[in-house]
Amino acid sequence: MQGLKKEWDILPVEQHHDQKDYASALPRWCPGCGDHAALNAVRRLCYEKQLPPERTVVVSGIGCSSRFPHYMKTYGFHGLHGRAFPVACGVKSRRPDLHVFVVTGDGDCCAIGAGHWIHALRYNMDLTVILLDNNVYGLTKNQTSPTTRLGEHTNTHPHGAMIPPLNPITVALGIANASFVAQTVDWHPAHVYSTIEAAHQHRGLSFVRILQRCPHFSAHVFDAPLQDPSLLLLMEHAEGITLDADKSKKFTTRMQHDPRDLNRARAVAAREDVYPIGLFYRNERAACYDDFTSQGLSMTQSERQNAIRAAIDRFAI
Amino acid sequence: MQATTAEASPVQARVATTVDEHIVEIVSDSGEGAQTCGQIFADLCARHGNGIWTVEIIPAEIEPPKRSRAGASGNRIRLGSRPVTNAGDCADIVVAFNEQVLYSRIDAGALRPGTIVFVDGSWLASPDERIVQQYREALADFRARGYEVIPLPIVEECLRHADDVRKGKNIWVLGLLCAIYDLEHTKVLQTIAARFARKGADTARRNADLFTAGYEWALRHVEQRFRVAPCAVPQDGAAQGTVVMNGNQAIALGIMSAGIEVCSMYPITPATSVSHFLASAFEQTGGIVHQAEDEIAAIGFAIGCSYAGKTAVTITSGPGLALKTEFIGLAVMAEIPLVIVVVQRGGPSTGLPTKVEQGDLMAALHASPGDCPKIILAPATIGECFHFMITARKLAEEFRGPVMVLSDANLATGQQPFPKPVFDPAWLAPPLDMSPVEPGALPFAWDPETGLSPRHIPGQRGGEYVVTGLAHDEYSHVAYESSINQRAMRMRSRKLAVLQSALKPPIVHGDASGDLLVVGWGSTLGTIEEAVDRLRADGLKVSSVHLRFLSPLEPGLRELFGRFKKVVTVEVNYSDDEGDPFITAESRRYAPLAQLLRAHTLVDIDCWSRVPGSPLPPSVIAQQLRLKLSAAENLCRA
Amino acid sequence: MSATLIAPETVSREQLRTFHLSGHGLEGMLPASGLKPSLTDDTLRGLPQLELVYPVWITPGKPPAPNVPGNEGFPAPFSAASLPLIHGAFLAAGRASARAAFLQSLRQAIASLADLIAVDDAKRRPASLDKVAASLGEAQRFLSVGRLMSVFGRHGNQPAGMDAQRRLRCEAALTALEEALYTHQSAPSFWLFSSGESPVDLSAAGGRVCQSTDPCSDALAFVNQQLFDFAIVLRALRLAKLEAVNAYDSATHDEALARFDWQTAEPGEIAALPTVVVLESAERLEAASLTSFSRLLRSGRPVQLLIPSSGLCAGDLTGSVADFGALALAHRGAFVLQTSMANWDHLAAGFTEMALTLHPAVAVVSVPAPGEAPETAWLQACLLSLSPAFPLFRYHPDLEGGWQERFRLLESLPENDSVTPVDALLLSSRYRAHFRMIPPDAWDKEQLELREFLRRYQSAPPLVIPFVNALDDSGALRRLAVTRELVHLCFDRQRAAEMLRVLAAKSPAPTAQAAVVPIEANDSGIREAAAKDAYRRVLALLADPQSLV
Repeated sequence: MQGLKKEWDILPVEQHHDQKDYASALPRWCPGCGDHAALNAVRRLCYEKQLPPERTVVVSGIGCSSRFPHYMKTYGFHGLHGRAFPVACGVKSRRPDLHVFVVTGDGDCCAIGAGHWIHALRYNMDLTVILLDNNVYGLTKNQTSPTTRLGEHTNTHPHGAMIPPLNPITVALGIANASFVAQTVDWHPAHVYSTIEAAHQHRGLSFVRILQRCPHFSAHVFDAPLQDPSLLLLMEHAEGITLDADKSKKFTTRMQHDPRDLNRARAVAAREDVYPIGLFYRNERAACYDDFTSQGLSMTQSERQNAIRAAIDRFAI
Repeated sequence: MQATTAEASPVQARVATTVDEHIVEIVSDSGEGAQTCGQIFADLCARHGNGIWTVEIIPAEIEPPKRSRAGASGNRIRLGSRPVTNAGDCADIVVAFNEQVLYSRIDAGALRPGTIVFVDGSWLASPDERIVQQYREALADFRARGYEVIPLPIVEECLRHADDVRKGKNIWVLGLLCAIYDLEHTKVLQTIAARFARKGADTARRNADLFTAGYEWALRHVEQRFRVAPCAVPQDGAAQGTVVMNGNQAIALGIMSAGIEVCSMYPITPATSVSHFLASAFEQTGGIVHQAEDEIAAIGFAIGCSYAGKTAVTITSGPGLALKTEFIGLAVMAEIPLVIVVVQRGGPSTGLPTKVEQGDLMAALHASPGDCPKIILAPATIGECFHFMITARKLAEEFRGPVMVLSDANLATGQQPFPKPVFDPAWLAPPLDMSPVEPGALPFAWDPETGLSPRHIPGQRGGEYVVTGLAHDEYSHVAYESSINQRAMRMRSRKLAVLQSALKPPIVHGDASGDLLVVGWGSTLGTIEEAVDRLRADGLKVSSVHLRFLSPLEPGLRELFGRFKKVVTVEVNYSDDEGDPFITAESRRYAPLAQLLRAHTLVDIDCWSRVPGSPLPPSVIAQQLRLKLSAAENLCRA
Repeated sequence: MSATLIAPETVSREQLRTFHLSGHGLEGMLPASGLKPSLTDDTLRGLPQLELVYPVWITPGKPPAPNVPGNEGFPAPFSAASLPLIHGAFLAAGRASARAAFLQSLRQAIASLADLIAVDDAKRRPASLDKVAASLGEAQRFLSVGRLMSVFGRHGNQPAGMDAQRRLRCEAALTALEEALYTHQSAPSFWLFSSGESPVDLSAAGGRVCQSTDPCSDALAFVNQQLFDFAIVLRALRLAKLEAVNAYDSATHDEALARFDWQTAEPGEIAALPTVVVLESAERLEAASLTSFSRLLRSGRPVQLLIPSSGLCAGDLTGSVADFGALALAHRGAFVLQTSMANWDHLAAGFTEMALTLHPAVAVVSVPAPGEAPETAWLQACLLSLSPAFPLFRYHPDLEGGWQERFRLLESLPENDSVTPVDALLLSSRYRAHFRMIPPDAWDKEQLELREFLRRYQSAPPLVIPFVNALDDSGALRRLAVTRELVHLCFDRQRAAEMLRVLAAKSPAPTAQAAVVPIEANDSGIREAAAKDAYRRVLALLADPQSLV
């Protein structure tokens, strides 16, 4: 009979990777920096999903956040300030077999890189993007960033920031074709992991903003929700980021939010009285630019050669 | 004096004057199709076997005012019985759809006494008195200047075959020109039919009628007839046939033929037409054109693609190059292969977007922060635009870094025939090696003598490393010791020296020694050599040399320059002229190539350059060279 | 009997009885040709029209379409010779995408192996001067290629190439795949094994004919060899896929590949093979190779068998007719289609499904009898499938959705059995000897219309002469006596149809239906209900002993 014994089909023997296989150097972030939480979550994700290190690429810009690739034993691209997105899109364009992560910071993404950020959201290539938002420029020693709160003192605004901050979530939700927008906080590792796991799972650009503190320059920015956990609004839904029951018990303010509802997502994101965390929006059917960039990959050399000769011949006289 | 169609004298076999070459210009208001007319005429002459070189006359605005000097749009075609290498001097025939655009050509110095000027005489019957006045004055002026003026009843003729006159004039004029140059009628009709087949049967038929009308009108009413014989010897041994295209098309075809799969760009004149061509043609070879959100994203995307194993190309012009310099520096520092095509245009700043200039050499060499040694090539002909793309990709991958290819607006839009490239599978990028790397292999395993190293591609097990723009060592670890920085810079610089060791000295056009050596680069090859040939015909000891490699420079220059009494660069860019107020030996700013060569060879190289926004005619160059020669003589005697 | 003189217009009862039982006598009463069965208006209205279906247009690459001429292709008229063309066209159309996908996967596997070997070559052997020069393009004239080469080859770690074993593996696989591509590109879409007298030219439908005395055996042997050879190609494909991602591990995969055979292949891959088809008429199968027929159906191999049947065997009608459809059903694991060229919708649906199955598949197809006029043959074929003579059904061994999905019987008319096989046989000249015209003045009560006869025959065979009504070419009603053999034939077909109906669960089994008790959580309630029911049944049993039977 035909078609039996499928479970013994001939498959590549997968190498097994331990969690430590994904760790290269000891991270040189300050103790208490929220970047550690993100790094742990990504390393754990790679381990849980057994992503081959050689086919994982982490792309970053410049900033404390962007040191991230150096601490992963995968391929990495520590590029230019604000320019991680175009490079990541280029990496993915002709190599759909690679797992591409983008790690960026609030200055890198929302200031100098804003143009690229907006268009990357629109292109919706299959990338997992982590914005490590500590509301300040840390590496260059305490300048105001687009997400710095009103009134916060920095070296460039010693009298306090005078323009209200930009809200990366409302911006992302306003971009056409954006397909996955989520937010989490660095002091809830289980939620961070679940968010990043869902982000990696989604096909398209998964934008995850992690609110975190810089222990040197913005240590107190999130004092309010830390002291009063009811200020954190946990968005829950069967289609959203799921947490184990014992982990979600920690959140006293919860809300059912269907991530398919874009209008509601925008309304929740704009709230200033709470810090909403969870999945704001997901659209599985958004167009992915990778479908365009990967065309022609399966062309054989002989097909290519014939096409080149034909193209030249068209100019013959 | 208006020619009337009433006296339709029978078709006479007029005697054709045989000429070695002719220069024809067609100018009109923007949108009237003079450029198309010129392109088709050039194509037809090439098929006829002539050598051709064309220059597009491009207004800078999309919708310039009608009947204005600044709004002239059209084409210049130089056709010859030998291969043609430049745009030549003054036109022999100019066809102008109105008299005002002709003035733009007069201002550009494109006409001489004796130039035959065909002008649309319909303006004389315009209801607008001002126009009639302008027309009369202009024609009187033209005759005063010594041009042979022949009005044409273009509008009247065209209205017989088309309702919208704007659609027909250029084809009617095409017919006229084909008759004047004795191109065989039926063969030409076939070519035209094929060209317009896509636009539908009605358009094709109308164009055929218009063409025939123009052709027959010329046979009946135009005295002049010229014959430019086809090239006797096949151009450059064309056993494989000949192709005709412009420089941007050649670059696009070269990109495809090099096996490049990604072209990343942002629209900018005059580079964009490369991407237009690729946007439809690339599908055939499995490639894509990525239009990025800005110039910086375009090069970032290309670098990401190259880093992942498939060397990409990004195309821009001067202003775009300025934006890309930070990323170029990253490509040099991280040793990522990349091809960057810069189609130069008039600067500085927004400058003259549609005009030729060779102004970006210094930016190409130095604009990135710090020391960024990179390979820079400059094709000099349309054919080299094609072939250099293959070389560029290969060198980028072997030398592990960016390769810049400098073209310009003249090459971009000028058509020239060249031997049809015979595709060689060796041109294509080799398949990606995804095998695990050798244990112990370093990301930057610099050969201590050459600085060359193999690179690891994502997918190769064991080769994981983090590329960084920060100073780094062989392990791609951020470098904190001072010696590492020195060594890394040395290695990256060494690669250029290695390439130079494999370059041949440039070939001298003329004698190996003499009184004057002219050095050029880029699109001035043909015009410099023609000027030099004229001087040599007068017994002057002048030679020229044309550089293709600008970084590293071709070897043997100092020794070569030593064999001539004087060395001058001729370029299309800005330099101060000797003798101008305040310009002394200490304050004079030299043209870019001259600066480069002076520093490189320690020879007191002179320069002569202009930024007219159009190609330098050989006569003008010849005149300047004579001046330089006599000045040098005077100096010697003094 | 022949000695008795009879006036030609009258016949006696005895003569009729003799004819009915022996088939002889009353030669003067043989019916003329041109007789048509007498059918109800409903039946007549329901008959499909020949011109609306045939000729069927066969376009390469597409399923055949009834009577719609296309730009390319050719027409297939209503004849037995069209059957393999039509079936072949459905086969080719149904498997076209699998075939194309397989060829594409071959090409890609070849390309990736070729790339691997090219990369390995580049590592082992430094490129020649010519190669390096060529790779630089024409600008090489500005370079000294020799000097360039001397610096290229000086990198630190020279990567080693593949180990010898891997290299051999890849090269062997590449060769196998290249040969396979060459073979498959030029292979026909099906091979037809037939012992038929007139070889049909099938190249227009993409097939090739193999003459054979025992086509079933030969086809089985052929397909076994085909699958064996194919396993080699599939192994090479899998090897190529693993090698392309550097994932081939000798320890695991050598063993896995060695045990790989066609049964673990993807269905799409097997479907890409040229299909092996056997064409054997019912008559020849019956006479010659029943054993190999059975062996073929039990083989589990992806073969297809076409059995054109022109109606009923012209041989001895005393016993039952070999019913290949039912025989095939008994083989359980085979796809069985019983269809008719006169019912295009059923045939098209059936052939479309048959094209996609990889089980052994049988199609018993009612085809027009040779030598008949097209309209007559058409009417005969229609009537055959309307009557129990040739019920149309389809059995798919592993379709999901239960038995009802797997076995589908086409119900033609409601069960009043208004059309009998004899109505169809009436049209055929071959069976004329089984009929005698009864002149109107000899019509009497000892004659019973056949349908009524068949109904009463169950309980007790009535001592009457069965007849059928027919219309002659002037439309007048005629009565035709039929032989005992035809009656047996009708019963046989009724039994066959009944069996199929039971299989299709169209009518309940003769045993009493079990009382369906609703499942309740109430256990005691169930017991009580069951007890009551049992009591009632015992009472009924005691009341009527006959129900025990």
